[in-house]
Amino acid sequence: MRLLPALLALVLGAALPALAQSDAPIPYDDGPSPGSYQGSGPDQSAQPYSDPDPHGREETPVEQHDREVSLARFDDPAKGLGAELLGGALLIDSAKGAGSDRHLGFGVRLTWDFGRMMADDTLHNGLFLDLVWLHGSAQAGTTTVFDSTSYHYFTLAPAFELPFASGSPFGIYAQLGVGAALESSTFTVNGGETPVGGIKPLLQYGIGLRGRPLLSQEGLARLEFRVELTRFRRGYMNDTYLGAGLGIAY
Amino acid sequence: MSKRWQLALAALTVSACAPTPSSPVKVSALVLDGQGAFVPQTVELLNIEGLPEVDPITLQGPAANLVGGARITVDSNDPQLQGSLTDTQLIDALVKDKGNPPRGSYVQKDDVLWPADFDTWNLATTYYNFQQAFAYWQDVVNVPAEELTGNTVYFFAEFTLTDQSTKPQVDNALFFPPIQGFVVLPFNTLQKVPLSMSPGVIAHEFSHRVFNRRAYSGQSVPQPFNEWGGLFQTPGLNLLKSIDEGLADYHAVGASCQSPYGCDPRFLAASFDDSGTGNIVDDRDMSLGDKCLTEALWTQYQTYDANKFSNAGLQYKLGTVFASALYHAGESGGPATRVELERAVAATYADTTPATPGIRELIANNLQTPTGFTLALVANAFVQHVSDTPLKVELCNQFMDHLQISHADLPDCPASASGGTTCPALTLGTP
Repeated sequence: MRLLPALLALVLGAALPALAQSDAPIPYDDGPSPGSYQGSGPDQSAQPYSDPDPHGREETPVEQHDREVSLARFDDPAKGLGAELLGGALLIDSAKGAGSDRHLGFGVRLTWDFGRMMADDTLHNGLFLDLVWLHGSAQAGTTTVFDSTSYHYFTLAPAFELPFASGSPFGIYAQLGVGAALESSTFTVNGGETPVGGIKPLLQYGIGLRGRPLLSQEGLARLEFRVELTRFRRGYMNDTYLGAGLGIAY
Repeated sequence: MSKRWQLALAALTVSACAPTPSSPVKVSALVLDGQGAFVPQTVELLNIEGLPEVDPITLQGPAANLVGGARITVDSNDPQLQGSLTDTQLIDALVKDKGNPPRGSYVQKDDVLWPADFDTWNLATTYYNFQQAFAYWQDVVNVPAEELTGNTVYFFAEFTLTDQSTKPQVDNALFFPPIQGFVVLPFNTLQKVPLSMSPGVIAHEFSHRVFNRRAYSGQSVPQPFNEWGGLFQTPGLNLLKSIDEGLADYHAVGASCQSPYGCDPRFLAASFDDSGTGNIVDDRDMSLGDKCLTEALWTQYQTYDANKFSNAGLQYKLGTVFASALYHAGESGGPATRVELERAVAATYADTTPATPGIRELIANNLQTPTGFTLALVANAFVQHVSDTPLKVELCNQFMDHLQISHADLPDCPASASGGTTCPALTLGTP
């Protein structure tokens, strides 16, 4: 029990002298100031602190690599990948020259925001790539003579998006891509079936509205949706897709 | 430009190109086979020297020029239809939307274009059926090609006869003289082979076109319809409509003889219900022995005005009787006899030779005296154009039998013509 008063006395005793000192600042000792040299020889204080070698020291490969790695958006852990389900009106060019025939179109879209690989802000935020499968089908004819046709559109289409404001998850985009259209039909006459199928080159272009708001402040997942007007040049036929997509992106 | 970009551009260029079919163009179409069944078959769309080549995508060619998405409205109150119009002005007033060329969608395999959807099957088959009808008239009946070209076909047009209904017409195919074109209407209740896919139906309509060009000089509104139409009784018009329909059926059967299946007087069965009694297929089957003039039909023909006669469908009834007489006469010999009669029939449509006037000339001669345009007068004109005596006798016999025309009213019939016993004898006035 005698130890505690001794320790207290020691601590308090050590502090008491400081409390007794003056409040005036104590300057650092920086050595002689440049203007304080009064002698006739070289001013030793003006010498650079770096290596006097005029070529400087070369970077090591590790240092060079580290310097070249962009740290821009190092704090964005998202992958820039998304997937959507599509649905809308597929307006297939009318063979009989009467505009277009309306059908239901649906499909799947995978998206990669490949602009994330680029440092430039505009490209970083604007470029993305779609891999799309869109499907539509049509049946026409009489009870005796009819045809069922399936259309499968496969495209790979880069796009460029302009956000509504800097950092906005909403924007408008334009797109141009290529792919292939798989057509398969079955022509039926009195129960006898004749299958016809083939692949045609496909050109895709269009515009749309795209949104990718965060699902939560803490998470990485984003709700991805679109409203789009897309045209397909299927061989020499012109089809139109007016639809929407809904999915998720990380 | 790098090779990679060149390849990409080439790919895009290819994507905008149409198929590259061989010449002649080979397409798959719905065709009547030797067993009378409709089957997909590869056919050739033929070019004719001096005429535009066949385009299988837009279905333009010497046999027909197909047009899609057109809108045709016939409205007696239409201000555009008032006053005196030229044929061109009339077409412009009636065809409200000129439409667009079709865009057949095909998949090319080797050198054959396969339709990739129903509309293209229908379009390609329709064109082929026009080509077959064209070939019948050119190759069999010996009508020059230039008389057979310029066939605009308004495919699946919106065709409204406002005075009848504000709804567009369906389930029909027709040659419509006011627009000098064919109209193929969408199907609704007819659920068998679509009308335009039936070669017989197209041959029938094509024959109307030939009749219009020859007998009416290609007039949009033929002169007798203007001159005789306002009368209370119009036997002349009733007769013209009847023989127009009957001859169209007669030549449709003749055209069917060129098919692998052979002559088919029941060609309408492909598209119309042929079950039961009193149906259109039986009614128009000119080979049946029941196609006889009756007293009732005679009275209707003589006393009805043109609208009442047409609304009752009597032009088909009287026309089939007329066609039946021709058909049985043609079938009295071999194929050569049939073809000879087909040619003689076509030659009767118009003939400027004073001694053997054609229907066009008979109309002109009686334009102010419509009662002079009689069944006997027309029948005798057909007899005049047959050169083979046995066939002439047979034709006279059939006219005397089916149409109950006396020998005295057929002055060009040989004395040996004595009529027949297929139809019951009637006591009628001068037909």
